[in-house]
Amino acid sequence: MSKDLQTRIRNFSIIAHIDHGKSTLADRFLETTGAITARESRDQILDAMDLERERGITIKAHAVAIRYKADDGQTYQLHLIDTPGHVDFTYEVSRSLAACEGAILLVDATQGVEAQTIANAHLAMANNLTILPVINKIDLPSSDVDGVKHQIQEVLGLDVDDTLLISAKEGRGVREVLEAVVARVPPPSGDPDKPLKALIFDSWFDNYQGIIVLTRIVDGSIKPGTKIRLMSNNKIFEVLEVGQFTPKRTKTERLNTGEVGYVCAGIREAADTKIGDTIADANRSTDAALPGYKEVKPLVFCGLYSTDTARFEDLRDALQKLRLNDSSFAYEPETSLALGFGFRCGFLGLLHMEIIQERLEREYELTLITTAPTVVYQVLTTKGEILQIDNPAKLPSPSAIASFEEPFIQATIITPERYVGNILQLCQDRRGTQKGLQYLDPTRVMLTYELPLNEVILDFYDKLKSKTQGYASLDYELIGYRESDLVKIDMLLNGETVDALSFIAHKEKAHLRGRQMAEKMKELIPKQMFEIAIQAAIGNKVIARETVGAIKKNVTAKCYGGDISRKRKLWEKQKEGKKRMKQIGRVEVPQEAFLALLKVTGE
Amino acid sequence: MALGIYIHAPFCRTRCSFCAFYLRIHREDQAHTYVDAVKREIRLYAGRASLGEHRPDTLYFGGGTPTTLRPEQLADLVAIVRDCFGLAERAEVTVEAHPDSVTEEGLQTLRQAGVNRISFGVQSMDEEELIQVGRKTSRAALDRAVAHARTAGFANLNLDLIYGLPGQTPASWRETLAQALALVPDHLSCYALTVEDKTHLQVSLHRGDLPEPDQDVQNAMEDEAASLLTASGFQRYEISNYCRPGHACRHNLLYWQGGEYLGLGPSAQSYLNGCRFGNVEDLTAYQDRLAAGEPAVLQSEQLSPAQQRREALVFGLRLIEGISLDGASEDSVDQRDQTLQRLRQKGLVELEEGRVRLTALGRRFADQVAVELL
Repeated sequence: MSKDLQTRIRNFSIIAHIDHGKSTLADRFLETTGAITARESRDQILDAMDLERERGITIKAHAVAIRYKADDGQTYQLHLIDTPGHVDFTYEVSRSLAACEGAILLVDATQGVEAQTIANAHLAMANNLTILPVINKIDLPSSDVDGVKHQIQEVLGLDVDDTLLISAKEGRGVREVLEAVVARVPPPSGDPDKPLKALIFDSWFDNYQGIIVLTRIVDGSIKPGTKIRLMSNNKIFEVLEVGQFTPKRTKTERLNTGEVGYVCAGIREAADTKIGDTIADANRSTDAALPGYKEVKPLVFCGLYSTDTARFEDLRDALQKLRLNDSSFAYEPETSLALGFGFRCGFLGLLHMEIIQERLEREYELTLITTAPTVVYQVLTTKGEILQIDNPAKLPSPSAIASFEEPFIQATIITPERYVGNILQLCQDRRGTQKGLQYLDPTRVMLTYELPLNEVILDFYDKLKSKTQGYASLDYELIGYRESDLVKIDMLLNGETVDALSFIAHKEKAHLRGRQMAEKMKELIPKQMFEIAIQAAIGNKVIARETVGAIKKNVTAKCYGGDISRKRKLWEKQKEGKKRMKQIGRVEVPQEAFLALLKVTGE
Repeated sequence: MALGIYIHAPFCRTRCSFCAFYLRIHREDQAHTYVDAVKREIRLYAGRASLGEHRPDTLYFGGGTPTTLRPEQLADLVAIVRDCFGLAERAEVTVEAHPDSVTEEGLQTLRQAGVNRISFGVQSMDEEELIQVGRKTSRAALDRAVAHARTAGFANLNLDLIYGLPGQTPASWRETLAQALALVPDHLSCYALTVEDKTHLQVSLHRGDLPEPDQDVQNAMEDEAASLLTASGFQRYEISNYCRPGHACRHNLLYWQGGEYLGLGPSAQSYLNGCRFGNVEDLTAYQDRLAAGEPAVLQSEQLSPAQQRREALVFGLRLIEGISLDGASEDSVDQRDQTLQRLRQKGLVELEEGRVRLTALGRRFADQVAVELL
């Protein structure tokens, strides 16, 4: 490819807080450039997976190549790189941005700057991207363009003189945005004559071709037949196919310097294609790997068990297949006295955990028991060993613990000023330490807090939303481990400890949490033929007790023609419900009870 | 296999607060149209091959209150069933009756038409208890009705009783049982009060106007009925049914023994050739369909042989003598037997000489057993 063509490439992302209109704008780009017709445009075509559509968020990044004839008469090759929109996937976002030269910072004119706007803008700045502020939804009566401009300038320090005002929904200003991309985003600067150097920013598993890698060619080029080396693990593969999404998958002869596209190289393991890794030519080494690569470590762990113990192997196969698609979750076999054989699984966050769990159930038709999520604690034993505790049941006895540490995060919360009191209270309840309070404008405040991660993963976000009528936004990053006064709380059913229900809490909250858990379990465990005692205990000391009363009879009095028709349906339904129960001792425990910790309410 | 015909008469003079059956308050003109529709339905099915050479062995008029229909109307329907299906020679023909809605002549008409079993809805001998559930009747009317039935020649007479009614005490239940026995019935049904969805009773309980039924009290009442009736020469042959030897209700046995039945009338349910199907629960819709010459079936489900076996087991277990375990085949047996062993360990079933039956505890948890076995 000539240098001339390279100057007509623009690689960019849209960064935005959730619901600020990113997917709608992406659709408009595709329509405006004729990449798809409006008729083809299923709503928001970039969010391909069902789950993404249902949850309204983008989980996996995608990249679309669009040909755009600009006002200067030249045809440009635009590569729109979509980014995940959730705090669980910050690293994926940062690598997607690393594939770009520019970013459209999209802000909702009625909502203003939110926590993810800031987090993503900072990621874009860290990657030295040219940022184009764009204010969306200007058609809405409650839009406040000047206020939002002011926030962008104040909070992000961006020049807002050339801010574009659009309504993606109505298609207003969309072409102007594309013109600005062409005019202001610099073309890629790589050298086509240097050895191949390319960034992996996404990958997924295809049943026919194995792993498909999304990549940005930094230097050199790649084509079928090229022998490539993945620099993190030095594995070598031969490229079978390259191409781009337009948005249809379209084979090309090669991917040139500055271009974004996919590569198939017969790779079978997702673990081999780590996001952030560098692709080099196996025969012509590049000088150094691209910066910023890191192994993504799961933050949140839980146990996953099939309710039907006979399906353990099916669960293993399903996890294996899912991991082909998503190398950011980890799993290893574990055994629970209560639940039998299952897996301890690690995730980037709670949303990530829910997504994997839902996919296992939906795509692999498994019925799962998920144990309460936990963070990874660090324990220094009296013998001087350092243990990573990702399962509360594995915690050594208190006498063997020299120090007990938990992970902390720094949280950024943006909220209308009137809810600040509620949030201060919430953060204090969650053992937070205030690090900053800044007015973005007279009505909006940015709070910075340090919080233990275990106080955040369970229900912090839901609580934050409910205490601010949905107005507050949150972003956070891990800042390290700190010593804490922590204890393990065990739950007992009819006197027997259920290992899968143990959890770790701060000492000051142990009694409260124990009581809440016992109360919640009482709600969730249905009455059975005998009384069920639910206890919470620290060591041998019982701190809470609830009783589920016994049912004394369960029998249809009249069972004739019409009754039979009704009852058999009802019983079949109950039988389905029973499949979602796990028998522990004599007690049948419903699936949800294992997640009771997630549902304990109030402070 | 035996075949039974059920005819649902969807009319009552008043609705009792616990009742969830499909019915309307009786009106003569509607009853007339209804009877015409049932006649059409009988002829429609009689012309079909699906019934094969079956000759119905039982005919059962339930409701509702079949005796809100005039005795001639009922007699007419019996005759048409006989003409069209050819009732077996010693067929059991039952009519459910409200004690207030029968006369001596009426009962004679029924008897002459071939009705040979009469079932009176009594529920309680305590008038206060009846008023609580919206049922108005008198002891005197019941005594008269039973006497007339005997005079008319009914040698097979049932009384329906309910225990666990609001305000009912163990003592008043014993009294109801004693008075029922004094009427020398051949059959007694004792039903635990069940709070059905969307009934007046459910609303009253929800509002706190009436006390919730107490399961311990109901269990004690069940035990009381079992011991008193057994001591008086009755056999308990099903969870809620007692009879003098030889007087078990043959029609109802069909439901528990996997027998076949054809249900006629609105909301009536059928089980034929492994297919469960049911009529529309609406009198007008029912009549319209039949006027158009079509069956009034709303839903139907063909059961697989495995499903048929599982259901036969579940419903057969309601019989005190239990059910024989042979007949089931191959792979499903293992799973079934594992479940039965589990139920045995819980003390819910007994296994003996290729038969399985519920224990006393199991009879209290028959629905739970059903859920596990289905």
